[in-house]
Amino acid sequence: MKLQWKVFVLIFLTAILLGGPLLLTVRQAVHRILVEEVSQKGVLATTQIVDRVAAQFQGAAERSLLPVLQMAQDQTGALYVMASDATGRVLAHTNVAEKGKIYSDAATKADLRAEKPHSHPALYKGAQIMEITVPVWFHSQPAQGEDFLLGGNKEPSGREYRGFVRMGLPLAHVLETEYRLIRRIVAIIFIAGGLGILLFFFFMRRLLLPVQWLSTATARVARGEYGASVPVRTKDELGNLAGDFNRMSQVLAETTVSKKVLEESENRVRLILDSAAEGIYGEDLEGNCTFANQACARLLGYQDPAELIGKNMHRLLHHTHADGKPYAPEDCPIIRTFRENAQTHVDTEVFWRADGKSLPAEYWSYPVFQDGKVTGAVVSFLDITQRRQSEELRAMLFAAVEQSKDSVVITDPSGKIHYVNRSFELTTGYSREEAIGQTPRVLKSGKHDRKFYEMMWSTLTSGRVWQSTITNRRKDGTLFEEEGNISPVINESGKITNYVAVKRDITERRKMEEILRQSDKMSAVGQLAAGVAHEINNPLGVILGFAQAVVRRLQAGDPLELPLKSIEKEAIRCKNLVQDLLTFSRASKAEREPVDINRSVDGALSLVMAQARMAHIEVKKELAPALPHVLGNQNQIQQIIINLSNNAMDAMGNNGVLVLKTELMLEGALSWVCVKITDTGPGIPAEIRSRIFDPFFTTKPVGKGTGLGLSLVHEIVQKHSGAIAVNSRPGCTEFLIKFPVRQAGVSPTPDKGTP
Amino acid sequence: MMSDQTLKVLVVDDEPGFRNLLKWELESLGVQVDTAENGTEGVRKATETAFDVIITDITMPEMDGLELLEKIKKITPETEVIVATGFGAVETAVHAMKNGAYDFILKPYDLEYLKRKVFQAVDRLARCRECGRPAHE
Repeated sequence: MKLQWKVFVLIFLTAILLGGPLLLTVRQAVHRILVEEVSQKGVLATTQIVDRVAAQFQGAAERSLLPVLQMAQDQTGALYVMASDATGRVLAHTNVAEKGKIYSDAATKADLRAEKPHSHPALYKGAQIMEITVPVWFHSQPAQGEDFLLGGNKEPSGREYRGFVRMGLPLAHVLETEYRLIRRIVAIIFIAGGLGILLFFFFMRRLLLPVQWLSTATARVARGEYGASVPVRTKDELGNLAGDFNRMSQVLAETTVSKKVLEESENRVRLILDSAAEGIYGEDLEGNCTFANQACARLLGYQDPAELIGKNMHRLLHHTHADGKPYAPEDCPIIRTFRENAQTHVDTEVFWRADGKSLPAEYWSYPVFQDGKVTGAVVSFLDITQRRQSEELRAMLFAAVEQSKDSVVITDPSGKIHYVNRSFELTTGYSREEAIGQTPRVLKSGKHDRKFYEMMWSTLTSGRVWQSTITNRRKDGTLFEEEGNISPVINESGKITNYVAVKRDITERRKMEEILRQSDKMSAVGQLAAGVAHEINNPLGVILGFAQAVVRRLQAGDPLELPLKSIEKEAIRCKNLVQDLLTFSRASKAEREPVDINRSVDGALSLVMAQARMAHIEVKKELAPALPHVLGNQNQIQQIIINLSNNAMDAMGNNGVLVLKTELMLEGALSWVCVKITDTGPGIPAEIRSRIFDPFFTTKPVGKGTGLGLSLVHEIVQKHSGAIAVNSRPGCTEFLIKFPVRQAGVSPTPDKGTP
Repeated sequence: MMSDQTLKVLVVDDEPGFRNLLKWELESLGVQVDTAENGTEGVRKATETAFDVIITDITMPEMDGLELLEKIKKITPETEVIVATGFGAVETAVHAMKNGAYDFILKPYDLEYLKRKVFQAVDRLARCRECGRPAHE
């Protein structure tokens, strides 16, 4: 309820409470005054009547009474006037119909006993009247007239009660006057009240206007509009209040505006912190978090920066090194920031996230000063997962290229070398320092014509990959064959920025291919030999048998001696060939046992000594003592030595030195037993060196060799997981055979030869 | 080593060339040589005639040398059997020796070696006959 209504109700109730009884009192007073006036007037008139008629109040005195009464009625305007005797019998009445009636009502009875005039209101024929009754006393002494007039104060003993005169004065006029008065008063009250209400509201409004202003202004201040003021119109309390308010608002504006600015600046700082991509947090001297921005919470896997506040940051996120070792707080650079007042930048560590995962981080830590004293540290950090990943990727790529078995060369578009890897250095003999800045032309062997290089460049400059086998020259001058490709590196704008050559030295592979080819040839020959030998063996046996049988029966000078002996000789040749072929085909089937190579050499020598002696060839034996045994077939190994020795002696013809040497050779974890057979013959021409192990290849005159000797040697050595090598120059040819020594737990090659 | 009794030798070989060679060579020494081209024929002939020595090839159609050896040893235990094996067939030779062969020779035949073996066999046969003991123990 509005204040003005409250005041209104208060005033209204007060007015009713005060005005109501007042009105009633006024009305009663007016009523009494008017009735009193009527009553006095009646008493006066009635007393005059009584004075005039008192003497006539004896017996039937109507005749004298009535005119008096009627006259009095006319003079006073009474409704009736009557006279009664002492018993209540009407002596005379202005209404003649009433004459002779005896009144016995309560009022009459009271009147009969009344000694003095009196009046009381009554009803007469429905109208309100004032009945005034005056007793009539008859004085026995003549001097009593004066007393009568005074109302008869004399002792009853001196007078006689004769009755009373009653007059009924109408009260209608009185009542009407009274009513009119009241109506006027009420009208005045209503008019005054209406005006009062209007005035009240008018004044209330005027009175409350400053309050409203104050209220509005206060609301504005409450909203933060410091400095809001209200007009000061009056000099009353409200005026003072408004003045005070204005001063207060002014003061608020002056003092609290700076707080608002502070808040705004704080908000701005918070906004900047929260929009930063770096995680930023502060630590106090205890190492506890004093603030943290959104990025800090997000990077560390927390929902809200508030979760971090008050936590010990070292224990929370820096407790362990990336490798799992605990991180002592005294080693922590962040803690040292405020302990030793030293700013830090670290990018090799990890922070530990809420979910227990590690976050590769780069962080900066700065001491915070307040009044010249360090109060803590501010740490900003970045998630460098991607950077570290790309660094790792880069390192991985670099290591992969650097350690690649293939040689890698990277040049700029002009062909200038910018990078070579380790394989390149090993393959070419040029060190990185020597190669960088050069062009790949330093490797040019001269084996390719200009057209070859033109083709290469036209392919490369058109952005395609050049793939080929190329012969290059090492630093030491030797040639080597490389297979691989050169690819242009093309940048986003389609320009060639580099060329990358990835090449493989295929010298070794070529050798392997050669060995494989040889092996294939051997295998084919072996199968053929087995079949052929088997089929030829029997017929040849018959031929040789008959030939020998016949030759033995020849007499001296027999003309058939030459043809028969020729048959025998050629048949023996065939037989040897067949035997070789059979040996060949069975080389892989031979049984293996530990073989003392020195003994094999001795055995083989005993078989070739006869021929050596005949050809005047000096045989030297240089056997290493206590050689380990090799697993193999004694006969086959002897066969090899015999074959090689025979070849050597055949090569030397008459005169020469044959050296048989054995030795133990260590190659890393492997050890080999070697046999070297060296002669002083003319050597093997380089052109045929690659073919000497081919089956049926021979340089011996027809009939002297089967062309299978060296093939057989090769085959047997292969089957023994061994190796054979030839070094030859005029005057010195050396065959080197080596067999793997098998020791406990060491198997140089897969055990393929053992049945 | 030559007795008044003519030596009887059976050559069993599927190769006619070898049969002819051995027959020709041994007959030139005065030995009575009969031939058979397989084990079956060899067994038949051995039941008809008691041979002193049988030279048999191992690898033959119908009945091979080892089976022949087994049968001969049942029919005429005193007949000496020399088996001829191909190059490198040592296992077979060992098997034959265990089954009562007198010796083994390698093919193609070395005639001189063969002749020596034949006469060695005959010698032993003669010695055993003199002392009344079986040809081999």
